[in-house]
Amino acid sequence: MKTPKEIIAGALKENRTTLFEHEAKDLVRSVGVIVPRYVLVEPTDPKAVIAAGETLGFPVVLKAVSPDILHKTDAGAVMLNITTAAGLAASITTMKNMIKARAPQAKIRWFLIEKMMPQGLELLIGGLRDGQFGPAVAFGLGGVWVEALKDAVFGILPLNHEEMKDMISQTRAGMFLKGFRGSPALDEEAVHLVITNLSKLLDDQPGIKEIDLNPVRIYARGAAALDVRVVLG
Amino acid sequence: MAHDLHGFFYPTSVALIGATDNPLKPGTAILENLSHFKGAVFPVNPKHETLLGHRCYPSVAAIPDEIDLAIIALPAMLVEQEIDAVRAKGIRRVILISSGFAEAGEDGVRMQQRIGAKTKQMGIRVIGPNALGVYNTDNGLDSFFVSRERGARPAPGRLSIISQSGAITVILMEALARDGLGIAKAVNYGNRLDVDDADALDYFADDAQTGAVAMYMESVADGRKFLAAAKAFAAKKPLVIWKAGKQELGAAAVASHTATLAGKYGLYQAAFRQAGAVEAYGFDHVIDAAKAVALMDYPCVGNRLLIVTNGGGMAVAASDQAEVEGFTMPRLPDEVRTKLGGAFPTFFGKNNPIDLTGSGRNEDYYTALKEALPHYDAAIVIVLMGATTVTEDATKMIAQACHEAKKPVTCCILQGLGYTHEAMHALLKLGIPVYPSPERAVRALSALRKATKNREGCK
Repeated sequence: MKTPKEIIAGALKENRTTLFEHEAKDLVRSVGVIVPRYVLVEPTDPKAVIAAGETLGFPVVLKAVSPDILHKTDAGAVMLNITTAAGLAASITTMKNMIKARAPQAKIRWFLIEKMMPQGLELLIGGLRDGQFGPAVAFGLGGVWVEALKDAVFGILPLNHEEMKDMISQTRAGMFLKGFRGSPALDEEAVHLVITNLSKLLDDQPGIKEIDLNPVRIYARGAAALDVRVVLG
Repeated sequence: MAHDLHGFFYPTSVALIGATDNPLKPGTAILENLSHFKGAVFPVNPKHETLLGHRCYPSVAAIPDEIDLAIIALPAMLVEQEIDAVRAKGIRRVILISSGFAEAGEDGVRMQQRIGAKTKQMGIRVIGPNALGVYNTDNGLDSFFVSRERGARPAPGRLSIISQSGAITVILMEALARDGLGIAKAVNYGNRLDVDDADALDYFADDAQTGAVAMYMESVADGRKFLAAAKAFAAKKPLVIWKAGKQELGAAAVASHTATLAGKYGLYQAAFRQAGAVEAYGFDHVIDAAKAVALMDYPCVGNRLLIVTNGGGMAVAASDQAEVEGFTMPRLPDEVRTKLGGAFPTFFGKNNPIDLTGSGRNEDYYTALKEALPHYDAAIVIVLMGATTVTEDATKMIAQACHEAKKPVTCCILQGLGYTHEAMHALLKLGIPVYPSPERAVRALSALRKATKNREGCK
């Protein structure tokens, strides 16, 4: 696996200021953030796609990776919960057509096949660099709730353990983590670890301008980042 | 060694460059205001022999004495060369009143940068430009160009003010003077060519006269320097901050949600939270919160709230606000109910709130608080002065009970004309923060609770 430095240098060499999803995931994985297992396949090789699905084990997620697609869902470049090899083969055709219709300019570079992860509380955990306050993290409800609930709060780095807990407690997400009306308490330690690892990444890699882990699914034990975006600069 | 800012607040001699008797120019009001200063004042203006009973000097060089602080109130164009004269005189501190710098466009920005580079190289510390400078009740130093008729000054007290805006400084001080709350010091740093928000916090953290700080800011000079200074300050003394300009957007949003969500305000909120400062929502709240933290010596260590009132409706309103602010209102312990049952008529409400009704007397406030307050973390006391059984002496009873229990109390005396107004001032003099509505009394107590939580030794 490439080092964070190599991943960033590789993108800059291609004059990209954003990382591809698999690069972004490799980047966060290198500091200890759990991401779903994935296989990257050339778009011209449908057999390899099926093989990837079988290797990972169904159900899987199919995503198209393209430098021309910024918002995958809008472009039809994400299909979830594919349970069979036949379904996966059909999904490839569907996705190609959908992208042709919605983003005719977009060239598909790869297909990304990922292990489908179980349901869980979806959080946004992000990082940025501010001109005045320097490196900072964001935390709040993620996934579809980001805009609707505007739950996110910020923390200026470095954050000690108490400050991190205090930040989390400001949010609705923090309330859900504690368990809510009979739902079990979730792994808050795993959340702390993601924030800590993200802080370390921002600290070590000055080339990262913004980073989004959204959603991060939180379970009774552990957490996994289902989508990662990185902006360089 | 004294703090670098000490010389701005405690000079022995001050030169006012640009002193005048033209009432339309700032130099006139500053010279008048300097008449309250317990130190030597040297007006400088080549056009005058004397000004306001002082001998006036044609230049700083012509002043025979040593000068600690120069206040420059000249048109912007003349400031740069005056800095050389200040330097030649050996003056190390300058308050730059003049406007027409960074706030006034490109040329102003460049002029300010040149003066900044020059003074830095010369080792001269600068407050301003485009600033009122300092006010110190400890020695009467007052560099404001607003006359005392136009902007009342508060009496000496424990609160200090740090403000980016001159107008807000003046209006805050007038509001505090109106409410009868004293201040220790005030500083308005304007364009912060040199001295900034963090420097001021750093100085006030160890200033013996300052017990708490109320701060107004639109932006910080250096976010990380501010966070460090605010953290250090709030660990020692309560810090209330009102940040205006909340809508300012962050760096141009690109692909990430994080940057889109951030704006600048989110980061300011993070800084205030991590510093342990109390964020005020606006003008009224910063005054209310400052009043509570500056006056009330007793920390609010928990959220168990007692309400004592002589009007049921106002207690209901206070309870609603208490819930919003995260207070709980546990019932009175049985032994307290029994004691109060012996002391009070049957129709008094002996629950929480304790309702003394329209028949409650001054001493009933004392009895209620004496018995109940030790079982709670704090109390809201409501006095409707319309009831003929209470007089302004109720204020003494309330203050006595508060000081005996050593628990924080904020009062609500509604509105405040005539008789009521005097009762409010009497309470403030006894060290009890008082507010004209139940909601404001509760919110102020909540600010005190937050300030307590953040202070070392109160955790």
